[in-house]
Amino acid sequence: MSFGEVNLKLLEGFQLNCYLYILTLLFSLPLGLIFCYLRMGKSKAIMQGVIWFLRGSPLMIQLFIVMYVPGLLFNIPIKSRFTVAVIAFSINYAAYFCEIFRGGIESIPKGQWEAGQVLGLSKWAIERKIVFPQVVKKIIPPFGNELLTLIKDTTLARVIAVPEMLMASTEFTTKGLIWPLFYTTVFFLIATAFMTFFLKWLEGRFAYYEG
Amino acid sequence: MRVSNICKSFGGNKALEDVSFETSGNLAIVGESGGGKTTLLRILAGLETADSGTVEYDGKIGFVFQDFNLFPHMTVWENITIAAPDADIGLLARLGLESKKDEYPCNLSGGQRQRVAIARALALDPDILCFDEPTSALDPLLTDSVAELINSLDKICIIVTHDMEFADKVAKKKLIVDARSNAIYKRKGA
Repeated sequence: MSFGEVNLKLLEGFQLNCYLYILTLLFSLPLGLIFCYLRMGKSKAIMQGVIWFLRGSPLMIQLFIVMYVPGLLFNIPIKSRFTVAVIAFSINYAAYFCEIFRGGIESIPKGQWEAGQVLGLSKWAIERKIVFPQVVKKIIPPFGNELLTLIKDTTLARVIAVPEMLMASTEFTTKGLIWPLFYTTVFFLIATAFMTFFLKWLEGRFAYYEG
Repeated sequence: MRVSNICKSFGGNKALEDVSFETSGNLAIVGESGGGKTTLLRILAGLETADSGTVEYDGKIGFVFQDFNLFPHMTVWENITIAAPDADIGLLARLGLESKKDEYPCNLSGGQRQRVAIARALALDPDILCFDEPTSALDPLLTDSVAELINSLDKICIIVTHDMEFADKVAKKKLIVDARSNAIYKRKGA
């Protein structure tokens, strides 16, 4: 098998890694924000338990839970394995994002809320105009770590037979070709390099003020 | 402003007990640290709720925090106009900030930050302006200029300070709040 053919096959798999990455971010960010508000609100105890489970149990097990439990308990199996991966990844990453958002929100000094309050701003206006922009700056470093981890974690989808890149490369090993397995690293290094540049750019965008 | 029988406790510790006063001009709230001065000011501004008692006043109330609490991600002008989009740009000149309009708070000196905090409060055209320890975060040499600024404002100013000399400069009336005897109202002058 030629180098070009291997590349083509691996790229097909990598496309799935990219889709899974984008969809996970698309769903886990708003879900993480919802988790965060529930965690800081009246549902604190329940959410602490949920987050403990999501962060404390292996993502691989969570993939199997989303894969089998709806079918076993409610007789509504999720037929698309890719959909299973998106759901499991989104819920799992939402738990991490929840804690990052919470850390960011709680790091904003109480005086900022009070300053908004004495100026007669509504709670929503204080959050939107004062708190949220400052939280974004504070959470870029921990958020960036998760963004980089997620790129690599997408390979875990192979355990439920989503034909992502690592799975495609292991198929070559059964045919006696071992190098494509190591070669996949190049794709991830390029992807993480792009993400690292993006995060540096983003940090630069918020460097105009201290605080 | 009329304040009647304000009581406030934190976890069983009495911070304020039966504080009453009335003022139509500047008032300095003085006393030792931990005596409840700031708590009283925060109750007046609605930032804390009293356990009992009433606060009555006409018009709007503004507040200048001890550490200013400017919004670090906003320029001077954005800080001033966030709650008062129609603020008069002349405010900047009045407070000597005309050249700082587009600066961020991190690039300002302590005195300039305080003036931005005052401008932000003034932009809402309050009738009463509360100052929490206005000299504590500043160079002692700036004390006189702060007193001058407070006296130049056409507002009822309520100033919490531990500096008796400064209190004398900004208000004829003083309210002494003492931790040991809780709150005692004394008048001086006026």
